Amino acid sequence: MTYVITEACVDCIHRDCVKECPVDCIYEGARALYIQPDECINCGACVPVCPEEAIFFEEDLPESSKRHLQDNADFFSQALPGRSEPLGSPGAATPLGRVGVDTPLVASYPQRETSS
Amino acid sequence: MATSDMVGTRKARCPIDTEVDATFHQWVGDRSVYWNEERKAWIVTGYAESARILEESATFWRDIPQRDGAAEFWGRHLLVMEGRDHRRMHAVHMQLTGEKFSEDIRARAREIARDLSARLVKKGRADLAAAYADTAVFTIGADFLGIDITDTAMIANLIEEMKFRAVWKEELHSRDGIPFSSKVAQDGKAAIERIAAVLLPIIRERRGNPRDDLISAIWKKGATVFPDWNERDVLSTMWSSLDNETKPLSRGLLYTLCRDQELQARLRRDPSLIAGFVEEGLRFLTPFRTIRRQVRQDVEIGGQKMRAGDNIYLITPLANRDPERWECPHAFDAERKQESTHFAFGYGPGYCVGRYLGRVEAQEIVGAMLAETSGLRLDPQYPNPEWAGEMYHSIMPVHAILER
Repeated sequence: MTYVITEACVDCIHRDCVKECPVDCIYEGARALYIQPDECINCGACVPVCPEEAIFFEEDLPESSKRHLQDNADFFSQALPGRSEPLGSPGAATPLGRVGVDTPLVASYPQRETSS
Repeated sequence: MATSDMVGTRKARCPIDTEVDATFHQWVGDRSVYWNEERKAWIVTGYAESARILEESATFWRDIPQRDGAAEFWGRHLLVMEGRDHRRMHAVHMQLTGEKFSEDIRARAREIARDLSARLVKKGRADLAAAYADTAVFTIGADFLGIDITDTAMIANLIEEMKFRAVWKEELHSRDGIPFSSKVAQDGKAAIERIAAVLLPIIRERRGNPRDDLISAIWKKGATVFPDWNERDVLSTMWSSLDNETKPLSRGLLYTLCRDQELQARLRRDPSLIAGFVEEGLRFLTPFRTIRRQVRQDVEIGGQKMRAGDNIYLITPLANRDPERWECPHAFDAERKQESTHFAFGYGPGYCVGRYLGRVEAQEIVGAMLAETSGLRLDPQYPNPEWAGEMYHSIMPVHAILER
């Protein structure tokens, strides 16, 4: 089980959740954040701090956002564009820094104007 | 493993190192997960196994709702919820009393703690457990809830009533609990009703006339999870602000300072060290000492096969002393860089929603007493206090001499 960051995060990236996460398992792509499902401890601390209400427990995902369960996992289990190896489970997001690449699903979303 | 072995070859930095180790020595087994026939339960002392149990809530969850009297004690409280209700209410708690709220109330907490300290210092002697730690935590909580703490008679009365509730709370959650029909439970329930008689009129008033206080916010936010949210639910949610782990933590921290004059002097010279002192107190003293879980589905962990329905005791002070996670884990080191997440606040889906508040309160309670005194030491008129309590473990009374 894991928490999942959905499309509401795309082009927003407030990072409040990154600061709140006690295990540093929220990683930054280019246009969105992703939760490493094997590192997430299911504490839910990220949910109330997200101003976009973009984070859900996997069982609570709205139908329209369910594909992000797999997509969050794919960010780590599949080699991202321009990379030869998957990220896997780095253990902590901060030392890794901004990855700067998104999954094909997130990259496919039209660019949107945001206040952040 | 003997206690002296657990301290290891490193020279103890603090006089309480060996003393505190002795308080959980009975839980040390020959492996990190083992069966305890006397408790009819699995004892878990390892860090990795504890983390897994606390994370995997579908397999391991609280048994509180099954305990006789739990519904009467807790009402519709986060601790008796599970699944989606729990997740949503957990999020509400974090919205209400997360980091921002905790920092917002810091100055007021300091003011309340300084005022209480100053009054006790005038007397020169005090029980730092009941008269200071417990009273400060209750008063700070009452203040941010929106209860008038200038009504000192009411506050004193509520604190006395909370003692009956605290006795029931400990008995309810220790071992297999106690019958609701028992005297302890009935006395506790009667006290809760007397407390309710004082607080419910305030809660009702705040529904129609919301203010910038936590009672008003609980009214508003609770209704986003439960459409039938009512005044008893608000009261149930308030318990966490009035009685929590910060009391035993603060007692233990103040006792530690009384025992360690060198440490006390260091914190007086540099109050910026207080936050680290509190964090090490959480790891080392772990006042929330036995986290209970029940197995929901057959599972293997730590080389042991657990069956659905089995009971588990997580022994947090032992998990918090994993030598793979902390250097010299059996030493109290106020300036330790916490190398790992300790389990003083639990972990996973049940991660304590008051963890930010508790830290701020404890820091200000310690800081205020140090600021109002030039010296703290145990009062030789009294015998040494003893550590006690299976769920909330701490030390009291802590009779001390307070020097201006």
